[in-house]
Amino acid sequence: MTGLPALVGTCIDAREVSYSSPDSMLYALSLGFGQDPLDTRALAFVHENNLKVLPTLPLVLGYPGFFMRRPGLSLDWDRMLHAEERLVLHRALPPAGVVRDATWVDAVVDRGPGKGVFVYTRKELHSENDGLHLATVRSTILCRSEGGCGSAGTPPPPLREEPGEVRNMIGSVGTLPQQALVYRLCGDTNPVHVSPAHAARAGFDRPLLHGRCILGFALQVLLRELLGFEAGGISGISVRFAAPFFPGETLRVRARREGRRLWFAADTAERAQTVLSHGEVLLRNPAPD
Amino acid sequence: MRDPLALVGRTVDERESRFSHEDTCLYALATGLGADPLDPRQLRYVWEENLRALPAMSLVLAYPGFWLKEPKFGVDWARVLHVEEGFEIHAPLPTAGTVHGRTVVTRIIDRGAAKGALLYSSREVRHGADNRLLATVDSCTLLRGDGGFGGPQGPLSPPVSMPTREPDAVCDLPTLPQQALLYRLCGDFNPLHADPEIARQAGFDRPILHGRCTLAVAQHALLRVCCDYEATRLKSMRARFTAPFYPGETLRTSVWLDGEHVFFSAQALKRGVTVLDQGTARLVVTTG
Repeated sequence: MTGLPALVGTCIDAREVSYSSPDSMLYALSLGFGQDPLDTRALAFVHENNLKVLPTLPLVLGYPGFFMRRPGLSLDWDRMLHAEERLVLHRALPPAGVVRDATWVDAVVDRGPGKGVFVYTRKELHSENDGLHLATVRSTILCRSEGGCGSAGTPPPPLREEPGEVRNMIGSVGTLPQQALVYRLCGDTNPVHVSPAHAARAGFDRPLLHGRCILGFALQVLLRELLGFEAGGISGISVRFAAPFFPGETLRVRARREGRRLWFAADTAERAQTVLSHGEVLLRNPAPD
Repeated sequence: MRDPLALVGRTVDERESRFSHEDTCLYALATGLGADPLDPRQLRYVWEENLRALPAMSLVLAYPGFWLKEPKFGVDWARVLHVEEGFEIHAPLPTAGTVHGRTVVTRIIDRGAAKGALLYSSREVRHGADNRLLATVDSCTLLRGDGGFGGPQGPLSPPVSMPTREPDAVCDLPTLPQQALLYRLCGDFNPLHADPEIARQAGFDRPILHGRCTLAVAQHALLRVCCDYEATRLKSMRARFTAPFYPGETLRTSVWLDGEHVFFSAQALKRGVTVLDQGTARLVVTTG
């Protein structure tokens, strides 16, 4: 029996994290920025001259890591999947700094024996020197082996999807075979993304790419095709990880703008399978047409 | 250059630096390991489980940076060219910890006002915990604007006699367009490798790959061809940089084997230009 419902309302991880400009640059490189090293708009995210910061950096800062591997929880962490991510960016982050973060479990929703359980976590990020609230990151994790443990707490409202379907293909981007190896240096060292044996245990042919990394690639396409690489206008992003995506595959992004909102979804060019759905980017100001 | 001869024998940089498993993985990824993420032999260098360090990582450990740019040396630093680099491993490199580096100028050769001066430097890399010698790194830099000071005109290192027969093995390794952007995070932030405008000012179409990174790609070729990816078998390596190599190009390394001695050269495959020449390496030969 796992103690998942008892975790609701508790802080499972708190730490102080300092990050440097090279960390911010590595993060952007791990999301494919710099693939065209002569595109100076993308270079701004991977070169220290007037370094720009991606709005999704809070996803990897103070990453709580494997809290689920803590002794006493005895969870089957090989069979966990990242299901959803919701980011609210309260303030832009500097390219280097010190942040304090705390991760809480907000809710546990049991789908029943054999069906798994959704664990909803919330990470709050504050600036260390002035205490300003920087970001809130809500993650939904599907623990596939722990169904039947019971529910507790209140999950966030369901993700919205554009009524109908986002059909407008705006662009695509290739990933590297070693993409997950680079991305994991940003902090998510789950072996399912590097070890063929762990991937097999989790039911996959080979290591899959981190969901947050796929999201970063989709963000790159949105910035390139729709936002002129002006990342500062983004105040929030949410998405559902609908299916695995493998390093080396090509991501095709569909999107539609509606006022201060971009609806998006993405699939693999190779398998035509939707891997990101319910995508929504919130913009700070009404976007020009 | 200010009083070049007084530089000989002088310690120009001394530093201690800490590095982590992540840095060791990043170095391997930035030099092309892990390009086949299902090859367990490559995974050993890019994943912290049973992690090993590549010998060429000695090139970036306790790296002194662009010390020639410091005003106190009075070098015409905008006109320097990195012409030769090599390392010798004395003990297997750790995958994390503290290392101590000391860079000493060993020789300066005056090739005249038109050709410039050759500056040889050597860096000892020692383990921070017990001070044991891990590696010696030798660099040669051509200071194009600093020749003709009446210094010694020799001795020049004799050229390596490369085998004249066909190479025993050839290995093609593609590099990434963003290879230099990734590699510079290992510590060499010279903007020549990232900023298109600065590369143009230096006379290149676009940013070039770091010579040390090109050498590390050739190391990957040697590991594949001669060592079955067993890095501890590679004891030393050195080569001359003969032309720029651009990120995204494929490096074709030609290898000649002669017992524990290896000769190599490498070219940019599509352009057919030799970018590394007079390459030598030493292996531990396994028996049986």
